[in-house]
Amino acid sequence: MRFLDPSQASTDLPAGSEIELPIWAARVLSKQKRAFISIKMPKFYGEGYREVLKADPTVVDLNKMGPQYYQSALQMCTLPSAEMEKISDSLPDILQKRVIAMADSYSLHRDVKSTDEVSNQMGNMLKFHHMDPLELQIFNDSKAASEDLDDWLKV
Amino acid sequence: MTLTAEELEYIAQEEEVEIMPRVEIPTMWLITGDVGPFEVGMPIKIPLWIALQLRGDNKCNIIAPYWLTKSSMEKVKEFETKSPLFSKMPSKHYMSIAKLIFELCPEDVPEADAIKLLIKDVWDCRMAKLQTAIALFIEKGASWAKVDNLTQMEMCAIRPFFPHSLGHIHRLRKTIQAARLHSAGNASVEVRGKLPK
Repeated sequence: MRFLDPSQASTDLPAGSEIELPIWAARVLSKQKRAFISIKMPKFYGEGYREVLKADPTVVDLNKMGPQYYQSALQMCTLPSAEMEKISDSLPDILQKRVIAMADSYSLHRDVKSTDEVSNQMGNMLKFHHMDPLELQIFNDSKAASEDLDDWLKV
Repeated sequence: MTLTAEELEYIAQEEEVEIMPRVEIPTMWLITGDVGPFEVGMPIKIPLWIALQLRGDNKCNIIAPYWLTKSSMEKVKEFETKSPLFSKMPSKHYMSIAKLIFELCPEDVPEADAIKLLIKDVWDCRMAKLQTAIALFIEKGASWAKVDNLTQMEMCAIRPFFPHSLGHIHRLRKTIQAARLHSAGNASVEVRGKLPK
């Protein structure tokens, strides 16, 4: 197993060492019956961030918390970890609240460059740069459809 | 099935509208049915797409549908603004038909400008009701809702935001639930204790 951590001296990894593994490898190695490893969650799914998300999910910058917050969480919820249970419970609710905050912004007039500019005037809107790729996809699809309809209405 | 605004406009042209021919045209034998014969000065009901075609060639005048009048629209607008629910629109494709007629032959419709404004007001009012309804729906997390008297064009406006966002939320919930059950077999004692029996 030494190839996983080239800085080690021996061919086998000593017990208690910390290494990074892809999720699929961690899943295989951590099966309860023959658990070779125990999981330590990334800090973004931990207690502190969980509280922040519970308080007001619409202002959090999900891009800072990893490239694909929702998708990674989905993959990780198969891993046996009590911490993961807690965050995955609140995940759909986080998306729900953020989507509601997005509901007004996608139909904004085209002259407005991004929601970053208007959020002060029009109440609480999800900022463009804070969106996770999943939310961004919903936003862009909706925006394109809304612009199509506007074009049709004006003509 | 996702319909775009143009496709809906195309479908709307099936609706019948009355015209006043200016020239004589013999019967048209079409696959969907016979149309005609057209006699000068005799009003006749035909599908909108034929009417628009003939009007474009100046072979007829379109008689505005009964609901495309100022008084009728005013009543619709009043009802719409007073009621929290959606009222039944005089035509399932009111937006498309109004747009097509105004685009091609606004002179056939008396007081066209006033009517345009009224229709816009009605549209805005209905859209506003729809937006609040959607926000409420997503918030409550309900699995279904019944809304009467929505037209297809209004549904176009909330697609794909509404179904996609609900779909993602649902997918998160289901996947997490399934993952829980799956890993229950491999779970630690403390997690197994929390699972519903």
